[in-house]
Amino acid sequence: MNKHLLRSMIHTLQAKGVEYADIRWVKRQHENISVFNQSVENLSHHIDEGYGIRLLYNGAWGFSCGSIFEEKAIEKNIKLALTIARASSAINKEKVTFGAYPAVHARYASNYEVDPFSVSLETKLQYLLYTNEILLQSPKIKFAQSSLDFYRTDKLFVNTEGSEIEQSFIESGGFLETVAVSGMATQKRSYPISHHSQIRQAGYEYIKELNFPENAPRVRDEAIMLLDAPTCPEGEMAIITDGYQTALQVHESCGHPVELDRVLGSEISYAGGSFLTLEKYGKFRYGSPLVNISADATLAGGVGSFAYDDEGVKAQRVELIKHGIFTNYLSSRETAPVIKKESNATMRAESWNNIPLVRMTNINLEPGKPSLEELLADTRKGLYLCTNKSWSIDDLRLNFQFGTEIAWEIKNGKLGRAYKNPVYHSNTPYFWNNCSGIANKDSWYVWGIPSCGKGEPAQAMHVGHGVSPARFEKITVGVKK
Amino acid sequence: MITPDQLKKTLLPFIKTKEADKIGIVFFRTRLQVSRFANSQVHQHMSDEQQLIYFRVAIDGRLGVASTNSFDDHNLNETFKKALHRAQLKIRTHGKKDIPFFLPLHTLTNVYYPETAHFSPRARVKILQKIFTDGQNLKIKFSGNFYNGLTQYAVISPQGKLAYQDYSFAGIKFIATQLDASGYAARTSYDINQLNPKQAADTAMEKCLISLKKINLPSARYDVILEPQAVADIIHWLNYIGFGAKSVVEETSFLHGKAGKRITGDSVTLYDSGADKNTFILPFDFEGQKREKVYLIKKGIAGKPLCDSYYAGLLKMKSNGHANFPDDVDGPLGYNIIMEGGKLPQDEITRSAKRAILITRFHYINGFLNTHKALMTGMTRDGTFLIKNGKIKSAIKDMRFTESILEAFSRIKHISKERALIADHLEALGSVYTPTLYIKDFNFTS
Repeated sequence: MNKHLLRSMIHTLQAKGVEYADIRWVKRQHENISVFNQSVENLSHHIDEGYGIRLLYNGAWGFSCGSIFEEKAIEKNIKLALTIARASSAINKEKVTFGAYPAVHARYASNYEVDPFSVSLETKLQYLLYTNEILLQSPKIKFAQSSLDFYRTDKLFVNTEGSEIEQSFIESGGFLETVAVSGMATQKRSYPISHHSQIRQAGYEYIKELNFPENAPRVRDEAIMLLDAPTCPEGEMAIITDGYQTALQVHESCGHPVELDRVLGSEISYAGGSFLTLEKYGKFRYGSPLVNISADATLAGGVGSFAYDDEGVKAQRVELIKHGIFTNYLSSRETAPVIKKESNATMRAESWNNIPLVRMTNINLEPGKPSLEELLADTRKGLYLCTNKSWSIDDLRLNFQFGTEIAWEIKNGKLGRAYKNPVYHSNTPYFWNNCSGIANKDSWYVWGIPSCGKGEPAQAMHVGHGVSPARFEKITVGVKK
Repeated sequence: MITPDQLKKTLLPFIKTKEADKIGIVFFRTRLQVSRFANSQVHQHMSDEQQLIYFRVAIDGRLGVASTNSFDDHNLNETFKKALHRAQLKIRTHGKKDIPFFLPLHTLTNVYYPETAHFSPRARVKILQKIFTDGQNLKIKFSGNFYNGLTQYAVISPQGKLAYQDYSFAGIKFIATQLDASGYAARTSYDINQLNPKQAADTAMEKCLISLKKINLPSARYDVILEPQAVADIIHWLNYIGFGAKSVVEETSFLHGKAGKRITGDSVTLYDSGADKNTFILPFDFEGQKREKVYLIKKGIAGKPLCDSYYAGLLKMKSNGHANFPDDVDGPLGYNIIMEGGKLPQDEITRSAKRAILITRFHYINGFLNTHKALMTGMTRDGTFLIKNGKIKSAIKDMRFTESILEAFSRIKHISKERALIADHLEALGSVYTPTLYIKDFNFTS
């Protein structure tokens, strides 16, 4: 990208009298390879590139974007962003508070060993076809999908404060999914997560770490086993959620409600509000004393990691829940002054044509003391719930219901038989206050979700969750018929 | 706007290459302007212009896909090469993919309104200003959005035929709030002059004010009146888990093995029809095939799934023109779903209710619980009311349902004569044209 062009755009905006402006140039590449029942379902590459102009004029925001880098087109977009800001200013009674931040000059590139875009497509396809073949090694398996996803994102951020930040990210991931069928009954198992790829800020080495060939037989066999498994028992009981289900639980019932823009009402029209209203800040008992949740944009490998957010603020680690007490929000330069704080750097946009929003970075449940084995051994009766299957939570993030692909009986500290179709529901503070154990760092894993939805137009963000399995007491399993 | 002639001039040379068996091209462009507001302040105000050019290259049954957002010669060439390279990979796999030919398709007219496509930020704000003042007088704050724009899309076939369509769109959505009460209303149209923002705002405010005092109802089975937005929220999930051919091939769809068999009550007829102007038209699919009218459920009987050329081959059917974007892995989906209306006016349905819950819309439905039964869960939101003897008795605190929609659709008592177009161009492509439903014994679980 031509930095001089972006700088000259900033100079033009300054000359027009904007109070603040930033321009983000973004170039994204995405490669998806998907094998479905031994045939290539998708073999695609996408690239896009453009810039977004965000400006504050007379206390109100305007945003426009473009993908044509010619003088006339840029001039038109600058004019459009100003026109939009003037229109905002004409209706808004309150002006945006947007304090100055120091200028930053920085370069950052995420770590990786093997550039996934340098690995041949043949290698990737053979890998998927091989694992797909393993999944299909039973007549009961009717459907097997193996997928890989690779992303490369290059960004350049400049603003009227003089910041100039270049960042580059490589992400890799994949997943397996298989459906076993018997008559009209079907059961699905996935690895390592369901519905989409598990991703990391890493290179092709992470695909090797995921080790599809080793996990495919288990995924296949469990799907078949579930066809004849009994339906999950219902009632109030202890549950231990596996890593991915705990990650989803953290995502939906902690990550979203601590977004300060939601709390202030910015997302009422789409994603909703939050039960963690301002008067609860710093004193609300969110969970049991065992519960420590942080937002860490510096976590190695997390897909919510970066050096600077899309407002030019340095990445941070922030404690959100400390010993069960709600202690902090995810904030931005505009929202942080409401709680008399500085931004903790969580503003991100999906791409050049989106407005940055307060987004989860890596929202992590800090590990506890017992090993997973000790946690299980310490549980007299309950269920070990693995791999999310369904998820739903209300617009304030209180009433939730989750389903997982499989439940394992826990009896006298040992895992027993498998159950199908487990579902549990609860209320966020009740659930986290009933957290009675979190497994230690040996089973702590960084999950990466590529599709966290927020904003209008909708933006899908990559967010991370470092968690280990956790136990919750007296949780209602099953639903009223 | 980019004209069909400009598309031909730029893109046709690519399909003449000798290196591939067949080449197809898809173009999709959206220009969008959004005034998003919260607390009666416009807090996110933007213009977005995005286009995608997809190359599909077929060689010996292998398909390579690459896409870019740039019409720059260099970028187009590089993208084309990436698609070509992918199709050239000599890897043995099962199943062959192809790019179908198609006959020229006529562009539908009277769906593009220049004023709608180019309505200015200032003009949107002027309309909102008056509504915000009305709200202020009642101590109500508004969240929502007001948007307008245009969509253009085209498919170029391997023989060089071009299918082209454009349309304008506008939408407005209000969530009126006061304390913990909220009320929702939204409108969408091809023509911004048909939106009637004031009417929508008044409806949202009325719902909000009634919701100031809410009662708790225990979780149990209740009769429900689902307004069109709530019905559309459910149909969206039916589409995702069951109407497309991929879910039928996977045998996870509620249509699997049920063709010609009863799956709901006989009052239910649902179909997808790409050229029906009651929805935002998409008259041809992303393989350039005419989107046929496909009955998904006809008088309660399961119909055919939505297919593209690939899944049609697997199911030994003919494509009915429902190919998704070339790099999409969800398979064919319905983008123009219509539910047939009934006989009773909507008001009469409410008046006829002795005791029922009126639901404006749902939040965060999930339909993966049991896809064979279309078992779903979700929360009510922004306007849930207890109806007694035909009148709103009180507002109700939001509740969670967990229900098999096939079973619920077997307990439909009334379907309204009136239907509404439900679409959100800020969330996803596609629209639903649906009536209000009265369903008996809907299962609320928490």
